[in-house]
Amino acid sequence: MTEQAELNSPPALPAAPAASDRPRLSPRRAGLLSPLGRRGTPARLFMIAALLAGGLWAGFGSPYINLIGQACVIFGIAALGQWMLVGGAGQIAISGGAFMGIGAFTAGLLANAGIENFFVILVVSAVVGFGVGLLSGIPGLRFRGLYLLLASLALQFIMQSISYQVQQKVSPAGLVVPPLTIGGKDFSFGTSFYWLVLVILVVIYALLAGLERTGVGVAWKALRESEVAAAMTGVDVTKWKLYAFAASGAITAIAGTLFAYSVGRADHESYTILVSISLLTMLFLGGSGSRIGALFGAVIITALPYFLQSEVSVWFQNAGLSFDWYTNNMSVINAGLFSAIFVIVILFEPEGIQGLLIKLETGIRSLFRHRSPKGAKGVES
Amino acid sequence: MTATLEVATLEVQHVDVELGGVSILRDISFDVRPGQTLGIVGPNGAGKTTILNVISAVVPTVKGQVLFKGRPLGQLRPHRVRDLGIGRSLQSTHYFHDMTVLNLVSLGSLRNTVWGALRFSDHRKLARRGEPSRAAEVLDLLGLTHYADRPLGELSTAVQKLVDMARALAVGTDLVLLDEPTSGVSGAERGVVTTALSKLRELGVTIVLIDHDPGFVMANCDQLMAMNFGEVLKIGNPREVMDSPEVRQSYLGDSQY
Repeated sequence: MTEQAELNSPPALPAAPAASDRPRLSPRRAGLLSPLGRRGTPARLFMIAALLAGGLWAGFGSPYINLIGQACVIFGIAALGQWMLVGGAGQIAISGGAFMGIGAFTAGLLANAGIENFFVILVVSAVVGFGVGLLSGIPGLRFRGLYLLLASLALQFIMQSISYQVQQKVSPAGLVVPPLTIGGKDFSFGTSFYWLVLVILVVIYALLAGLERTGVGVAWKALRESEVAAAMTGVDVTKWKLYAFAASGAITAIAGTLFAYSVGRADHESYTILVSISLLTMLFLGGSGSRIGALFGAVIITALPYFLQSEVSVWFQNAGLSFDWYTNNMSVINAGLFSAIFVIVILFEPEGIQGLLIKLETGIRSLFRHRSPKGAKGVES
Repeated sequence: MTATLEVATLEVQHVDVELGGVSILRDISFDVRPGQTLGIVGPNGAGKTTILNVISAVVPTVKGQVLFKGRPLGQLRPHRVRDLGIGRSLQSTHYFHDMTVLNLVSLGSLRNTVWGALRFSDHRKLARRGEPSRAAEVLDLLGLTHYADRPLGELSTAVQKLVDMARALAVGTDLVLLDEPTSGVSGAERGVVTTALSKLRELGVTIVLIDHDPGFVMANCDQLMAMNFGEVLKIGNPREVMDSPEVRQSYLGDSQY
């Protein structure tokens, strides 16, 4: 049967090889020609290397750098949670802040009830995030695009309101989250906390990367392309969409829990719509199509205010200018800055930093092509 | 003629479809016997694709029913229809450009449960475990094996169409719905699609074929159904249908006939 098929196929499909000779050779040709590998690989490798370097710097650098690193990692987890939904399954939601708040308040309420085991709190937060995510997916079954965005906006404000009420009732100054200890060992601050959250980030990243290779990832990919086409090809659109919302909710809630641990309390003012916007900005700045891009965007957006505060303020002082206008209005200016970055990225480079890097890479590649005599021989046309 | 004694693979009975209050299909009835190919022709807007949408449960019917192997499809959801063994190709090749050929063709074997989806694996893993893979067989049959790891977007339209056909065939163990397999394919590459289609027919796959090119459909079907304005004009032997005055008129218009 196979033999027969092999015998049959070349004469039976005469146009197929001819039509596809060029694309069929191109990856191999690119691989032979340049040491750069496949398209996009160098850009990815650069991003991974930069993140690794940054990760090590934060781990072994000064306490201040370490503190920035903690925030970057925690928001990196939140960005991964949002990436799953927006980049992975092609949905859109502006409720990341709400889900971080859900994680934080779950931790605060559990601690308030006397449950202080870190893993219990983390798992319960993830489960609550999963559940609320599932519920938040229900509008997603009927709405798409802008309407879905509005539905998630409603969720954001509902959560803000609920967390405000809860906080007023339980502890108006914010729900206390106890210092993080595991088996009697202190992980509450500094490098030990940093390495702990980094491990959690790596585990979540690896799980998502693995998931993408399974049928779940394939179903989400199909969903992202076109819901109608996905349904026609046999993907249960309802189910996988709900799971995408739920899984995203769980991951984002975990990030919220960790953030609550890092600041020692859960305060409703920390999880506003501004957080949701900055999370989306992270995705689009890094390149919403990829996980690594989401992480990259998270690091830049999270570190940017610290950079403004510690570095740019020095520049201003050296130039004899006042920087109080920034320090006094930090949250407002940051929000404006993130929104501006968001708009600029969408307008000029929708693929984000990853897109820019790939453009750069393509430029370098073309230099290689022209210079390599071997390559010139290899190209037939 | 044992065929007449068998249960028809597909029976469409007096189906009416309305979309947004506009009548799209009126009293459509036909059946397809196992191993046969039914071709559907008609001008743009005649309702050809809507018929496929009804069979694949994307569009609800107002009246009438669709029987698959004698059982009514009822109000099944699209992925449940797929689970019954009905595969469908898509009219447009605009989708799934990021996905590899193999992933796409394997979509058919994706189980819509968490456990099933987690165990979903590509044909290489299956081969290593010595399990058969319909996706691999189908790719082999259509001569697409060497494209397996390529993203669909890199391939020519003709090959994309073949991949889509392969995807439908991987699912459609009992019925394959082909929606304009030659649309967007240039003249020279049409042969590829025709060859693939005749392979399917040789294998005895039951097919409903739609195309905007009546010549192509006529040459590749056992039964032909001509439509216009959501109604069946004529159904029967391809030659006779194409030669009938009302069908010619619907294609050529009053003045030229």
